[in-house]
Amino acid sequence: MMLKKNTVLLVLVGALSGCVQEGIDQPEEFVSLDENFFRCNVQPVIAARCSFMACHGNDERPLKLYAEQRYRLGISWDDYETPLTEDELAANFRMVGGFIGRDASDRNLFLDKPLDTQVGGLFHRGKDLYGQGDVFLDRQDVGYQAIRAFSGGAVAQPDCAATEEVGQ
Amino acid sequence: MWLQLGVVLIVSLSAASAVAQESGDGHADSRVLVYDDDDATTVVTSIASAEATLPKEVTVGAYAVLDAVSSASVDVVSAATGRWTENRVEVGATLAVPIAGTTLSMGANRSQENDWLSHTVSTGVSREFFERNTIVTAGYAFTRNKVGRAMDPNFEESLRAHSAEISVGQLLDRQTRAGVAYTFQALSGFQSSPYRYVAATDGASTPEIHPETRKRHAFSAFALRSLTPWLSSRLAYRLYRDDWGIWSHTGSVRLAMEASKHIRLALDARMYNQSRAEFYRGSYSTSFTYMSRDRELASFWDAGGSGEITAELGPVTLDARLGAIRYRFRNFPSLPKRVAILAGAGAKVEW
Repeated sequence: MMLKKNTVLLVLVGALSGCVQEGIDQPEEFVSLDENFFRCNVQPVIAARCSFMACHGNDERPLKLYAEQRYRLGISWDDYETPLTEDELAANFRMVGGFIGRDASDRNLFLDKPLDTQVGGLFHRGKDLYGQGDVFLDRQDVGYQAIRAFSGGAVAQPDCAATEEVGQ
Repeated sequence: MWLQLGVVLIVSLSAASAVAQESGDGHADSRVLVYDDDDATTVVTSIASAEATLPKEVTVGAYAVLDAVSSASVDVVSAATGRWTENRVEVGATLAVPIAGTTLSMGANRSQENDWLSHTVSTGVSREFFERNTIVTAGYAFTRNKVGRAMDPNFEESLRAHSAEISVGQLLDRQTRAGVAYTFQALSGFQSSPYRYVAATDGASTPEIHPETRKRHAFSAFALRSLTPWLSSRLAYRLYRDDWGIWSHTGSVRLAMEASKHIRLALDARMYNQSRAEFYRGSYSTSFTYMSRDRELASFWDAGGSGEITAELGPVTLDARLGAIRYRFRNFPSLPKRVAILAGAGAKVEW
């Protein structure tokens, strides 16, 4: 009888203390992205298409993005036209990196959310709010192409010049 | 949606009563439960069910459940979404057949809401031993879920669950019955919320991401004892462990009393305590392989109690219940505590 009790206890303890999945609590970097390419080619898209106060230039959004004349980090409202600070650019870079995730591919949340659902994108409230179609109506959009290149690992020189804001 | 539920109720009641009039016993239940908490969430659940016994002790049953949910919880408000409302409808059927002293049971159900579709099939066996003093049951269920995202035709994920349970119930003496059970569940697929995002203090923000597999174990035990001819008690305990690192303990006690020939009263108390999943944090310093904002994975406890009154009026039984639960989340900063009120009423007709 004692043996049976021990066996039951052993099974019980074994099942309950069963291993926690390995590597379940490890820091992990997002996909490696290029800060220069971001500053010169992606930030202009963000400024033109995303960071309005009613959209992602807003503290309540999970994706919040800073841009000149729009949403700023620690800049008083009468200085909103000053260039983005390094902190603001770094914050945008980190934020976008999180939405691109861990795989350098052409399917990630930062690409798919602003892409119209008619061409394979994901639901984006911005489309419904303004009724003018989604940010990128197709994959040929120059802004979409810039983000796709960025998430695919494109790099730029440190002295690259920022492009004009892409689209309005 | 109410129309659908009404139709299911009428059909199930008609079928059950028609069958029962010809051949045997049966019952029909209707019930409404209301959950309301101070996190701006209200759930009204309507349940209708019927069961009838056919010749040769074959039992058939059908049920329908409608959950009407309205919420502006911190979960959704922090994702910049306002209050949302939605309905969940579940319908199911059961069949139990005695074969050579063993009861074989089968069931199937379907549950649907605007972003979730679920189908479950289940089977089980039960058999009594030792002059019916011992009952052993075993069961298995498979659930296939299709996970969507509201208003998003291009988002589709899946989640599968295999569940199994074995239990033993034993009559210990004339006043006491006890039982133990072991439950196992293996899940694989999408287990995050498509609506939740997690921000790290270094500035990164990412959609919630949970592991794709999960193995869950639970051991439970209960004892039911008649204390006097008019008072009985039930004690229960459940120990839970999963491979995400959560331990939990649930204890409950129930006192039931026959107040008069037609009236029964009951008091329930329950206490629950859980440790956090290993990858869950109230705040992440940087990006991790798995990141969650699900408070159900946080460390928390809850305690609740309820009272119930039941009146038996011939073939009709009426009951009403009122209770409250207090939750305390130890590492979920946006909602450290929550209080919920539960109320319900039901009617059952037997023939």
